[in-house]
Amino acid sequence: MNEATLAPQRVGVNWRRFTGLTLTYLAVAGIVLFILVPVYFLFILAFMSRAEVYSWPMPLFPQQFTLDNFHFFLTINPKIIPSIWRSIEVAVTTIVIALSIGGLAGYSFARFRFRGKNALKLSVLFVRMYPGVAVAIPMAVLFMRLGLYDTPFPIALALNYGVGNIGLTIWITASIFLGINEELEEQAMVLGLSRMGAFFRITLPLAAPGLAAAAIYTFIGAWNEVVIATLMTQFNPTLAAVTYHTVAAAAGALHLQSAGGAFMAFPALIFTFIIKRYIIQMWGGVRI
Amino acid sequence: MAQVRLEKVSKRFGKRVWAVREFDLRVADREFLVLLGPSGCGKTTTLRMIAGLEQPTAGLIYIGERLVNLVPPRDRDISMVFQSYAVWPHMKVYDNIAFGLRYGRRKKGFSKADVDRVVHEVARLVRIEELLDRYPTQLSGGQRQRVALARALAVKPQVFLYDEPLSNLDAKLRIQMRTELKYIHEQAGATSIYVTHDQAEAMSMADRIMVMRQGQGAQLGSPNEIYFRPANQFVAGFIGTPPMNMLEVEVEEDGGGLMLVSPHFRIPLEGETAAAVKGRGVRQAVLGVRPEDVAVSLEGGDFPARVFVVEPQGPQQILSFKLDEALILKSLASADLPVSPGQQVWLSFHRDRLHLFDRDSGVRIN
Amino acid sequence: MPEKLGGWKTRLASYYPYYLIVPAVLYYIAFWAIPAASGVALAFQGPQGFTLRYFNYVIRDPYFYQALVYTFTFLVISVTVEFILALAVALLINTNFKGASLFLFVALIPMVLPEISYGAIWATGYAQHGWVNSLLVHLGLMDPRTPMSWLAYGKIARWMTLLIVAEAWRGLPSVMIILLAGLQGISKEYGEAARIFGATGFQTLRKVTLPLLKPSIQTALILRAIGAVQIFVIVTVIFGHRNLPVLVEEAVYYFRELHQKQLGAAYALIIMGIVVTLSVLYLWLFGSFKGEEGRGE
Repeated sequence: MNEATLAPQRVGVNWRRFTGLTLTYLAVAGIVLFILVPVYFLFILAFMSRAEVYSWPMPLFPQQFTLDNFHFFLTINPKIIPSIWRSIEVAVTTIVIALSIGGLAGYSFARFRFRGKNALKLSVLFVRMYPGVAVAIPMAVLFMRLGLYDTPFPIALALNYGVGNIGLTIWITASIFLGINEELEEQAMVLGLSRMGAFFRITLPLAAPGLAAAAIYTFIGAWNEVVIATLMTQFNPTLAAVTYHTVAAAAGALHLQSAGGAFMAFPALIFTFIIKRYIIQMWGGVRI
Repeated sequence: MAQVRLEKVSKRFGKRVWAVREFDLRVADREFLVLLGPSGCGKTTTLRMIAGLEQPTAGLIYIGERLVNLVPPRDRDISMVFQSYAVWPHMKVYDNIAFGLRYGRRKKGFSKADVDRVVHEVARLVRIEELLDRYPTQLSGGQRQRVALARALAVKPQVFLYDEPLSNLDAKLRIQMRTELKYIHEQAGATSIYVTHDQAEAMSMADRIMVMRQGQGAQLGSPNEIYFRPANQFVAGFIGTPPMNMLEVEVEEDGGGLMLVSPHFRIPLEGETAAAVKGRGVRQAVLGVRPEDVAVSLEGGDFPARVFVVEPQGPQQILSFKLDEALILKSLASADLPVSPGQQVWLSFHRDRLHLFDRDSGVRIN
Repeated sequence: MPEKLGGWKTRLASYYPYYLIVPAVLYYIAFWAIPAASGVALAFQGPQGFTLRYFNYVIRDPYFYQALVYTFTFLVISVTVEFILALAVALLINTNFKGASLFLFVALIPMVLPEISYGAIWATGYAQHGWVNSLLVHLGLMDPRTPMSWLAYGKIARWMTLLIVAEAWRGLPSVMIILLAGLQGISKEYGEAARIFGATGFQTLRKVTLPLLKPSIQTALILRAIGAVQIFVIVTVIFGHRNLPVLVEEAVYYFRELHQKQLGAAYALIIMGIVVTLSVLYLWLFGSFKGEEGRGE
């Protein structure tokens, strides 16, 4: 509309453009509401007093905020508090595995041309698409034999998450390294550094934000994952596994379900907000 | 001090692709040598092998008297200016320039004050002193180019390598930088090897030009030699705009003298050219005539032709003549000549500047 | 002799790219290929050697039949619905509008939310006195005296609808983002050229935009299909265990609750077979992109 008001001669209202814009914004508004309303209810239910949660119809805007539901959720099962720490352990171990092993391969994919590269790339994709249960069940059996199943430090779970995340990390880091002109490295090599020196002085600092984003993305994935976690743990579950059992068994206990769901959601949402630019890039570089 | 020598250097990519093949080159100390050729001719690969960024598949590379095949780039005592400038975006201009003095082999013997002195010295030389505190993202393309240059100068190398350093600049800046680069080369007193596909750049800067084609040297010579005595049809066609006219001719004897004969014209051959042709017993050849050596006249000449298209170029105009369906001859004529399409004019070739090439091998005959 | 120069050192350097990949390959062998192979062994190995009896058992299990039917019904309907809606929205907003980056973050939320939070949202929503009914009452669309009992037992069609709505909430944004990315990769000039030559908006869409968008459409469809086959957590959180059986749920159930690891493995193999079929389809469709790698130099 700005253009129309700025134009020296007004030709008339451009109805087509007007309808187009209106439709666009209506669609945006509709989809934003569709996405946000459920999230809104998850959080307000989690923070509402129990009386409000179970009033009928429940208020759209809670009168008082309370942490009672979270307290209830965190104390209902003695496994929950230790499982939070364990979830962090799993996620961090997964990050270390994925970034070190996947980062190396990603660098190789980005910088070198070698035989079998295409096949390797596709196999990475293939592994990623392989259903989690189909690997997790036999893996659990293997780890039982090795005595690594359901250990207090959830190494089995981290190793399993490593499989999918190495593949993802290879793709992400390869694109990060590709985005850093090779000549920057070569210039450093000409001026006095070894290849490794050039990597650490030039490439790594330039790649750091992207690598951090990849790490956070891995963290979110490991923190969220529930199917394999329920398969590969019993007495030493992650937060996702124990919350899953709590929430699934609590049909009708809205305050407990929403508290558990909201508690799980915080880290994912906060981290996503931090790296949103990168996630959008990973999803195909949308720029509206 | 530092001549650069390549002996039978080859580079193969993968199993079959030969980027460079048995390439010999000798660059004299303090020479400005340009590697010129179309894209894919192996010139950049050659430069990268001299830098040590690529390993030759076979052959020897010397810098000075030292065999450097196994020497990593950092120990070759070279500098390189890349096409992308490769100015590190996470370092200030100052740190970019100081880099080579701080790390690796050269850091020995450079105190902080030394580094500072050198950085300012080279920054002054390329006129970016006031930019030292900036980050590269705040600079224009031309300024980044100067940073790359300063960085290369700072380490005072024996050999400068340039990989199409001006190709990302706009036309005006490119011509300005050409002059500055040449001046800097003279100041630095080092050997320079410069890769480009731009013949104007090569002609204006080089002491000698090595024209490359399909991984091999096509001709090595001074700019004038390359232009006025191209060694073969490839070089003749590659250098010069508009490109040299190539005409298939028969050689006929005509009462003791020699005539070049085509369906459109007959011209007598004289002097040493005739002697060379006679000596070899050539019957068929390709005649090369540069457009500026095709004189256009309204009164008379070697043969008549009709103007096909007129392209004004300011002081000059390019005239095209369609001799037959497959043959268009171009002439660079003065803009004062009043011609229009369809008009009949007379053409004559500058006799001292005829180039004759073997029809099969393309090698120069005269 | 110059041939030999460089010798072992150069050759070693030429293996550089492989060193960097070796850890990843070894990792895959140890923690993917070996478990995957042993899973196959587990499913086919009876007390007396090779057997098909676990598969036989699975196939005769009435739950398997139900799980298969439900999973596939869900797959077909939900992918179709999501795709059509997402395409419509993507086309509508494939223009500049203010607040686009914030909109993208909003669209990311359902994708990155943990599955449990996702389950909790809809479990609390579909409860008889949950937030969906409350919202409908507040909007005046529902009589507070007769709230809808969404989860009434055994109403499979209604459950399926609920599941599809919930899954659309989670999946639609991701489909939309893939399609949007694709749309933005299409030069506006193609559409403009079509309009100059007289095409209507709809003709432009059908003859120009959609064919050019095909790669993105394929990606979106197949990624969603692979996800849909593996639906599990949301179903159990909303409807409870085995009330609406789906394939992954059965695999987990046999393995974890009944400690019948062979049956679990057999289920896993069946699911894998379906996903691999879809994946191969995916790779096959994208075979046309392989040519890109050869470019450069």
